[in-house]
Amino acid sequence: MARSTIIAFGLASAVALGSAIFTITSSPRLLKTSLLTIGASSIALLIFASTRHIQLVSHRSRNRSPRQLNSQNSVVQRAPIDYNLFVLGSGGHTKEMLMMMDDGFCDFADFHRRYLISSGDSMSENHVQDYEESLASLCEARGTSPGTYDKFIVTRARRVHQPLWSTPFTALLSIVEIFPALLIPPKGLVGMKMKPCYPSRVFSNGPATGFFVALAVHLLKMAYLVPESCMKVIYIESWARISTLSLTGKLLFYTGIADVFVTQHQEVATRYGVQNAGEIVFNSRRLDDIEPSPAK
Amino acid sequence: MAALQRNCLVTVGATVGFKQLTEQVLQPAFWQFLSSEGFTSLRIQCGPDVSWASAQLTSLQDEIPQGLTVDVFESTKNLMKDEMLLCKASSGSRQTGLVISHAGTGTILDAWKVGLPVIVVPNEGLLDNHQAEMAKHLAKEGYAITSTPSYTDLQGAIHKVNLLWEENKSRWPPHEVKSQKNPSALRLWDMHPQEVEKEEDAQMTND
Repeated sequence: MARSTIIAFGLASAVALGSAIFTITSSPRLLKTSLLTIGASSIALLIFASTRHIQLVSHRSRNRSPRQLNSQNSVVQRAPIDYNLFVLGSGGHTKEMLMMMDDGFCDFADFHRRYLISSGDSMSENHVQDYEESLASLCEARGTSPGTYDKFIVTRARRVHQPLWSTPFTALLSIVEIFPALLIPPKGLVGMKMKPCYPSRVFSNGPATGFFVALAVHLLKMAYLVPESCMKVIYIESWARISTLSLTGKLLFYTGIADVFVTQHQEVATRYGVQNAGEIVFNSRRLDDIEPSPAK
Repeated sequence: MAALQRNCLVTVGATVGFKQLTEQVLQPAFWQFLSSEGFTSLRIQCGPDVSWASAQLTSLQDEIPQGLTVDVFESTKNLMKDEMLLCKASSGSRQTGLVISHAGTGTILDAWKVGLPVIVVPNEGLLDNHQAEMAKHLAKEGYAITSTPSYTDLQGAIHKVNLLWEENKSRWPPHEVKSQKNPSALRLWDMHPQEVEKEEDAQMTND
């Protein structure tokens, strides 16, 4: 189906649904007709959504293994400014993500990192601070640029001790708040060469927020609000998952809305038929790499 | 004998606690063993069991061997910075210590990062068997020695971990930017989605 047909179809059904709802509220006498219209246009919208979903999923390469491009190689066609989003979760996930990032690579000129952190997760914030400081000193020693970064705080889906009845509301709020994190360009990058300024890649390794972010990206692409070529969702299953996928991993695996899907252990990779990328967390620099060991 | 410090850290995780392990490392016989192995300090992070542990420690105060200090505490903000660094060798003052840990991934990754020998004691009491699975994986790959929460097993594990430690020195040498220890591991920065085949893509827009 051609792109314009799909858009027209989606728009028409949305308009029909809107006007039917308007009619039903203004003149209750037309109840039956309005209800029919609402029914019909809801079905039409549903058809639009599923067509678009299938189209998006099939547009992705069926191969969810990563394409390995050497970041130091000029072959990589990097946008004038590259901007990546990192979804951080509770302490363990954050620690793993930062260890995967901290592999000694430090040529980040024109590169921006945005961290998505849940409110009240001061542990993740501290870890990010430590990582960025250590990266800055590494880059200084090498004479390269560490690039820029910012933190974007979203409401936590459920605080500890929060009454159960209010959980759906805060969960919804946290999902709604993901959209600005994806759409608002980082301060320093406004008006620069990159236009429109969306993250090129979105990294996640297992926290529940990771699935909601992937879902938000998918919805934005379904509605033609962001191009398919950006916000590529790169999912790396947590190192802690040896034989089974985490809930987030399962959701992303079965919905097919991640662009890259890898695990860090062979056992779980074999079970789901995905690629094992090896224990990426161990790419991390260790203390002895950072400060020469005083003992010797 | 040179008065080099040697610290042993026991950690059970912040939330649930692991009383069996805490009990065993509070046995005077275990202290005697540690002392004979040259340890000068034993610090036990025991989470919710801290009041029980400190009462126990007070009652056994007289049995602490000469030259060893034993402390218990609930938890700390940053276990790696606050405690693990005390187990790291420092020329002239400290030799490499030891971490005895529950099979929590956070602690294990931290200990790996600091570069410390680790003994992993899975908490079998927890409902999921993730801890046992992780411990098995770590032992299989030679990242750590596993033990049960019994001080006699722990003593055997301490002998073994010293050997493993020597072996692992060559396994993870300090690395510069590009040299990867594990050639099969991809780098996060290098991961990009597969490109959709050009023809496939063109066909999509035309049909």
